[in-house]
Amino acid sequence: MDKISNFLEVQDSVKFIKNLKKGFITNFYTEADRIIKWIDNNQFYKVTYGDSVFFVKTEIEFNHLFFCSVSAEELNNSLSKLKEITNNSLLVVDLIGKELDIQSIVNTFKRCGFFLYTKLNRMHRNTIKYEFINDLYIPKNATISQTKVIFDLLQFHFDPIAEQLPSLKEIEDWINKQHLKIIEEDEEILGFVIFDLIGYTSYLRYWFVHPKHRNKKIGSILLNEFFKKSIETKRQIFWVIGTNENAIKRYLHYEFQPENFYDYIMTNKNIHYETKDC
Amino acid sequence: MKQRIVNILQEIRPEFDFTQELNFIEEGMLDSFDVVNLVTTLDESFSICIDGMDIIPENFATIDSIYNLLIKNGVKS
Repeated sequence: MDKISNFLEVQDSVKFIKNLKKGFITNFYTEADRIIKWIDNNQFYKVTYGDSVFFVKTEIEFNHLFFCSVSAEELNNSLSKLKEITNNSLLVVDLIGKELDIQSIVNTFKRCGFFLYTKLNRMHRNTIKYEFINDLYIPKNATISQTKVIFDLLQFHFDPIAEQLPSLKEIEDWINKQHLKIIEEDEEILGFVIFDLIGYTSYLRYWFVHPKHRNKKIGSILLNEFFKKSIETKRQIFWVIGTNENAIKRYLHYEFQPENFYDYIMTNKNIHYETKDC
Repeated sequence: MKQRIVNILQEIRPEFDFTQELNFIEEGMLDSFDVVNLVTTLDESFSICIDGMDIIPENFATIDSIYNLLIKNGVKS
C-alpha cells in the first residue's frame, strides 16, 4: 500500500478509474478538506487492483476503507485481492444510500467476508426557534488547552468504528471556529456539543453528557446551544446509530425526522456494535 | 424540464427554495449525501442511469448544471 502525499494523487486515482469509462461505483464522498487533513497527518494510503482503487485511512485500532471501482463484479474481484494483504487488520467500510439502493454493494461486501457492524440513519429537522433554558449551567467555548481532554472523552465514550472520531487537529479546528461548546464545573467537562455550519445547513457532529452528570438538563442546554448557533440555517442534520433507541427517542422529542438514508457500517471481522448511551 | 428538476430537489429538501440562483453545494443546500440521493431520484424519474463519472459537485450546483447533466445522459429537452 502506498502512502498518499498530496491531494492531487487522490484526484488522479479517482480520475484513472473514471477514465476507464466502464462505469463507476464508490463510497468515497468525503470532503476535500477532511482528506487533506488525513494526508497531512500521514494517515492516508491507496492501493490499486485492476479496475478498482482502494483508499485506506488508518485509525488507532483499525483501517477505514474507501473504494472506487467500475462495477460491483470488479469490486468483488479486487476485494478478494485486497483481503490477501489486509487479512490481519480490521477493515471498516461505510456504505451509504437509500435502503434498497445500497443492497447490492452490501451483498458484494458480505460475499467478500464482511459483516454488518451497525447501521446509522440520517435524521433532520427544519430549523425552528430554540427554547431558552434558564439554568445554572452556561455553555461556553472550549479552549485549545481542552483539546486532549475532549479527544479522550470521545475516544472513551464513543464507538470509534461507528462514529468516525475526530483527530486532535479536527477538534482544534472546531474550537477555533467556536463550534465546540462545553459545560464545565470545577474545571471538569460535564458535557459538550460539536457542530458545523455550512451555508443553510447545520450538522450536529457529537453531543455528549458525562454519565456521572446525566439528568441535570445538561444535554438539553447543550442541544439548545446548538439550535441557537444554527438559527441562521434552515435545516439541521445528524446521523444516529439505528439501535440507539434512547438517543432516537430524544431526537424525535426535538422533532427530528428519520430519512430513508442509511450508512451500513461493515467490517471484515465478525464483531458488532454494542449500544452505548451517549 | 427545469421545473421538474426544481420539483425533485424540493421533494428531497423541501426546506429550501431551489428557484433561487444560488450555488446549491456552496450554500449547503445539498451535501455529498444529498447528491447520492438526488442521483437515484433523477435516475428513477427520467429512466436514465447517470454515469458515475458525472457525479461531481459541479454538476449539481445549479438547476442549469443539473439540466445539462440530464441532457448529456440522454434526456430529451
